[in-house]
Amino acid sequence: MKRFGSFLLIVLGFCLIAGLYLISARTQSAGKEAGRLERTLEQERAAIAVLKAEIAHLESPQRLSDLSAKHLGLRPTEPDQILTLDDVVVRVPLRAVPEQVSP
Amino acid sequence: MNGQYADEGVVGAKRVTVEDYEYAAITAGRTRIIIGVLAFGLALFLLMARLAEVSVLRAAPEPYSSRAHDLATRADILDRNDEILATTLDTYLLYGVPGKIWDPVETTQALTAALPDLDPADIERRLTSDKSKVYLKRNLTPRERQAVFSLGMPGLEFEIEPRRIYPRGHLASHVLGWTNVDLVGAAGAERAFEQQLSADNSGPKRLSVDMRIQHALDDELRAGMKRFQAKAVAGIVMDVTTGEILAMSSKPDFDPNRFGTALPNDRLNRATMSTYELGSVFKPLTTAMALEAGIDPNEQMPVHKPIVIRKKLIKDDHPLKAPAGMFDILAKSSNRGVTLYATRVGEARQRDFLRKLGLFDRVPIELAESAAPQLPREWQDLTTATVSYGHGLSVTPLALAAASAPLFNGGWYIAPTLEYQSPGKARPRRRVMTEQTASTMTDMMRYVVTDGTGRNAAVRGYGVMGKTGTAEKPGGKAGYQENNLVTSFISAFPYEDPKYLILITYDEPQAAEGTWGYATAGWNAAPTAGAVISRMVSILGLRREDTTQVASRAGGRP
Repeated sequence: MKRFGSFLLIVLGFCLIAGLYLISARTQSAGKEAGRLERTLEQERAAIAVLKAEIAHLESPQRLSDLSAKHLGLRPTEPDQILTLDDVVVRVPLRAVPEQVSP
Repeated sequence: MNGQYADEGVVGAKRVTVEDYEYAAITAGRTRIIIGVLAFGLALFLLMARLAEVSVLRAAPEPYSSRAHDLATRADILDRNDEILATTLDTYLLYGVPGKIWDPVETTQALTAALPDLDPADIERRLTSDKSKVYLKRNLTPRERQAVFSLGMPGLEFEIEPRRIYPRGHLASHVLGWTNVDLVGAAGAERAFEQQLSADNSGPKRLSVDMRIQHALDDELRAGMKRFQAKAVAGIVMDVTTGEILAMSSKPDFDPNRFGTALPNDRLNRATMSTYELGSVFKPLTTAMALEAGIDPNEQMPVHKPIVIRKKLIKDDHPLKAPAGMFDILAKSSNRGVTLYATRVGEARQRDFLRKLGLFDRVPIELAESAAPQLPREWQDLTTATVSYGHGLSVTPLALAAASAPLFNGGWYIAPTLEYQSPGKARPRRRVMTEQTASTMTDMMRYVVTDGTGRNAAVRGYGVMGKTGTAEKPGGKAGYQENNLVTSFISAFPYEDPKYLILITYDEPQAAEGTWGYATAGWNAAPTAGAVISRMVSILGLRREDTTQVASRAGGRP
């Protein structure tokens, strides 16, 4: 009985060792994966910053106005081109609603 | 078992000593086994303890980060609508390790095919040198780096090298400034907000500038400078209620991405660094001072009579033939009129008033590039007269803009700022004139645009107010050069509730087609200001005012 107990304890010890080894191996690979993700994240962030700068460059007002002048013939709007609804109402008076014919 | 033999020995009559060799051997063997087991157990325990320590007790190592922490980073600069004006990108520094290169000729061929702007002879010379590390090219873009990387050549390596990028090119170049190669701000906002931009984990810096208005201003100034063949031009758009600079421009300008190649003349921010005798744009300040001193705006001043001070005749460009009140003195820009006001108010009060408007000190803006004014060496009765119409005192355009804002915001001096102010946040301000004075001044400056020298700045429906100023540059025989002018237009809108102030200053403009041979402010600075305003109203989506009402209010003058 005593021998059996010792044997069990030893087996248990080995199991624990094996378990610890597995866990630590998994921790290590998870750590590596985390590092890899971290690097990817950093690269993606850098890529986003580059793309944002590129968008900012492409959207520069000077570039857009040059392009729209060249290809679309657009110019800056004049204040007279802007009308509010009130202006439209004044210029085109509403027609009087014809009286309903009652049956 | 051991005991058994010993007992038997005692039981016998005689003491018999039995030598048991086996027993000794077994005892020794047992001891060894026990020592062995103990050693094994100890080793096992140590192993388990160490394993437990490594796996459980020790803290996990820091996750590896590819970005070295000693790399300099710098926060972005945004405009007031969060549009990027300046950002920091990682670029790559390409270097070669000659010791690792198999074939310098082949490497050179491949490399120059991938990066055509490199000089093959130079690269080959560098790659065959006996140095341990040779730099080949700076600031590679990610695409170029990938191209070199895909060559698969050993001995070509990269270092990350952050670089400041201004994606909008010339836009707001004087406001933004630039950084040196170590990413330390050297001019403009980059220098003014250095601490916030270089601090760790600092968010992006938001400026008061509106990119759209800045572009409209840039565009109109560029066009105006070309049309009037001016030496330079400066423009400022400011929110008079908060002191925020919405746009500030100076031409000629430069590309901050290549500030190293820019000429000093292009780098000069004329809005804040150049001092000019700005001329008649000072007259509104003099009339405001007269109102503050209690002079009745309806009082008819004898402006038709010549005035001589210390043998100097005060001349008028548009002489009035009869006595005039304050509205007409300002609308016709009469030097004699404001001279009479200034003389009556007196030197001490004039100086006090101008000091209150900040014209005797450098403008307290964040920029390091803010020039101090050039004050007259001594202040005599003639100085009082000339300063009243903007001569003898040189200030920067920004100083005049800041001093004129109280005319439009109800009488408060607010220091101009380049930092975004969230709505509702109160800025420090001090009263420099009464609300009544400011209100009369807006009426008068509206009248200048409807009936005076500022007609060319009018934008129908938006109640533009303003004042022209044409000054001859100092120098030459007579003290002033008749043909070298500095023309300005100070304006604000909308009349009902003034919010935006626009100042345009041309340095040596010439007459152009359609100006009838004139090179005065009414023909260049005023129309440019009008053009900027008409672009601003569509950008900002401002509603048109009821013009008939405005006209009646301005026309309702005495």
